[in-house]
Amino acid sequence: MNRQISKLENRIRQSTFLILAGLLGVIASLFWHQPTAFLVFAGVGGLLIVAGISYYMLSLITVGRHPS
Amino acid sequence: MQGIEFTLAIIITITVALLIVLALRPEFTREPQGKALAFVGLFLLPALTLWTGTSVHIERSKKTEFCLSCHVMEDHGKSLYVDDNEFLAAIHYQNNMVPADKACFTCHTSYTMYGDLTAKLRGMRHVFVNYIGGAPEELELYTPYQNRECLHCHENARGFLEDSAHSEEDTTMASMLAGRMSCMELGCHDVAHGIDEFEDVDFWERPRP
Repeated sequence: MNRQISKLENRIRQSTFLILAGLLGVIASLFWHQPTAFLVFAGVGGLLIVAGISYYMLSLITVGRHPS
Repeated sequence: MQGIEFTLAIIITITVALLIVLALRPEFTREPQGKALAFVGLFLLPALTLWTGTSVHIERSKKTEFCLSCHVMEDHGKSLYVDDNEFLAAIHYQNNMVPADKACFTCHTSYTMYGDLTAKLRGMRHVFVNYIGGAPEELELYTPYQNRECLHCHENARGFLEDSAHSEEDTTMASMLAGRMSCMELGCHDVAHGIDEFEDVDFWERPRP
């Protein structure tokens, strides 16, 4: 398999980093039972995951598969 | 760990594993199987994580310990242990009329999904006010306490129907059911938490097993 990464694949990689960061936020929010946990879940985890999903979807629509 | 939390942990683990593969080998998505896997890892599983995570947090927010974790609710927590049958919160809590782990939520939210969401949005505002603006000294409900929150359990219960005070006049029961007369009317069940009366009451100590 050609290891040169296309623009879309690069975007996919960036999306995975965003979602992974969001998942860290979600995991962190599960460690305590106070109202601030929900803020971390929604404000950090949720926001990053939604950003990652949106970036991935947008890339599928807007970016071709040609190597960068 | 509750069932839903365990489910969330499994979803997160699978998602993380899949995302690590995609981050290390993005060229994998050139194949049709890779494309499908990317869709699962970058859309389906993260969306499922958000959905399940929201459920977990909403479930947690129903817990008594969650409500009492704010300093401003300290007195309300204390009111659950007042040693006096006139105090509604105390008598319900001490006699297991409400689940001990969801004592606040049982009486303080409507039972519809919409009401639940509104309560959560208000809760977000409360957290903001608590940390940024400072909570008011005297806490008040946004709207008068609704009878339906009492009637949800008490309506059609024998003790409620046969209580002479509830049926002493033809109109009393109808007025209560229609919400024209509050259960907390002066002279009826008018002491909910009774925080102002703490100086004159004793507190019950739950025996330790």
